[in-house]
Amino acid sequence: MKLLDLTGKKILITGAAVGIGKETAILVNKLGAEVILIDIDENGLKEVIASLEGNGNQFYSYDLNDLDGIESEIDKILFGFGPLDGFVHCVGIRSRRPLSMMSPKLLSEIMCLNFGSFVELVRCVTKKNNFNKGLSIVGISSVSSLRGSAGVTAYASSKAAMDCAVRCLAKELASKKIRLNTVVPAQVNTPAYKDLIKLKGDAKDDILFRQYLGLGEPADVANIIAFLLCKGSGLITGSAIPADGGFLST
Amino acid sequence: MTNKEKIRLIEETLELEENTLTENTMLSEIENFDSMTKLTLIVLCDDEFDKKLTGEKINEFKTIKDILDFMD
Amino acid sequence: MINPMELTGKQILVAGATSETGLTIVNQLGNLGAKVVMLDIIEKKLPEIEDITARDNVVLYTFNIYENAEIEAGFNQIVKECGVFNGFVYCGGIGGVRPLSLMKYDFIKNMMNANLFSFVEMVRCITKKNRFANRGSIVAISSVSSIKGLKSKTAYSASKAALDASVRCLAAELSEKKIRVNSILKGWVETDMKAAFIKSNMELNENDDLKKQLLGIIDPIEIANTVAFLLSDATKTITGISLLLDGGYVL
Repeated sequence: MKLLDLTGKKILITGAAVGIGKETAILVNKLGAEVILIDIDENGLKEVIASLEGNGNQFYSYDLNDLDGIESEIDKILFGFGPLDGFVHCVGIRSRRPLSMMSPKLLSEIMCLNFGSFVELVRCVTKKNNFNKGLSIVGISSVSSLRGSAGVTAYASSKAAMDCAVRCLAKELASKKIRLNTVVPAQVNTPAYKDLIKLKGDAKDDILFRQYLGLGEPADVANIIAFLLCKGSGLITGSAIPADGGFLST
Repeated sequence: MTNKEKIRLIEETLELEENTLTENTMLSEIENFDSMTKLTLIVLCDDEFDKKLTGEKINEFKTIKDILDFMD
Repeated sequence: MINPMELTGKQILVAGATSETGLTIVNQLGNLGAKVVMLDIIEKKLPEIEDITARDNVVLYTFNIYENAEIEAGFNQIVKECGVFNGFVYCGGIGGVRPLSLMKYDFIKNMMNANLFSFVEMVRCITKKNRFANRGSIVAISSVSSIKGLKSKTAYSASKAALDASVRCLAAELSEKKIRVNSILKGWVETDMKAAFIKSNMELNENDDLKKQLLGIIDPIEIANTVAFLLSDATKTITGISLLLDGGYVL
């Protein structure tokens, strides 16, 4: 018996054009799954799809800021693709702003994309006929959800909201045999991280410093996501699983 | 809204097949009729009919008809 | 006799001050010697509010604290008329329950607005230069829902978790100005029992949620005392925490 086996499973991945979403798509496909990839970056998606095996994989370019359109889009997509066994949400924007430059509007925009789209997608994929029993949902959180640092109020709040929603929804949806969890990375080597480094210049990255196993790779996080999608993680629900290179423990 | 339409709305909200429910269906017979189902009906009454159904009240209802009557 | 929770000479702003818990907080802070500036959206002037605002160390401002566009101007006026503050308490916010199937983002956004966005905007306004004393203290009222999952409370719980995350970040950011930021995770309070949706939800609950609160229901005065504790010099180096006030609920 293989611990990581997703043969014949159908998995939806958002934010799949780059970084963690992309590596997750590649990995779950290698493990036998058929995937639907959603991102705003159509070209990026095409490249990822081209690297996957099997004929059933699909991609859709969609701006997840448009929450109102998600329901009809998902219903349409799943009508063709079939009910899901997994859903991984890797869409989110980082933001760094001092308090003096914060505004409710900004807070709201970040909450809407990072958190609102997640809950709305969960609501839609857990509608009858859109999922199979044993559906596993994974959201990408952040150590910012649990530890405070300056300038990341909006981002941290949105991630804490996601972790909390997962605790509530895991209980609410348990009777439908659906599990929800988040993965909690610290710094991961993604395009977003590369941008952050450019911004910081010479300034020390405090998070990286505490992450004593060093900078994570998207593929490392994808491994944990894959495990959470598989039957082997069947007892894990409502949890926030650290993928943080030791950050939270020290 | 006619009673037939209300029943259909309840069926859709609870994700039940069309024609699963009739006015005389006992609530206790409905698949998975638990506290979450009751809460869903409470919110539905508020959203669609502007009626404040309470937990205490819904616990007194026996059939679908009781709910339909409340919605009026 | 020394009172480590002495607040004489301190001026405290309390937002969301006219709820029952808010009034209890205002009253107790006044008893401990503070000058209290109350702030809330008021629908009707109840006798309890009249009584408290009659005290000569209490002053009341009213505007829609959830209308973000009004907060900055409102705070400009308050600071102009009242001067520097030593403490800020946020006990505004709304509650509510909704199952996932009927929960669209509007419901969540409303909750986030009242429980998070208004709080952060108020902190931004009150901590502008020369408005908040060095070694000042900020307290937000949160909930055990922030850390424990309950069915149908996704929106409310997530807004409280977001509030607590913002408290940690603001604590880090405002530490430079030596301003402390903390929250209180309250469990079931006596006053909760009067809210229609809570009564209703309790009537539906299969598990007796209140029983999990081993030491029984919380008296609003305990919240007031805990707020005073966090505002006072007794907690000079406590910052970024979410203090459990839950009668053993999360055990």
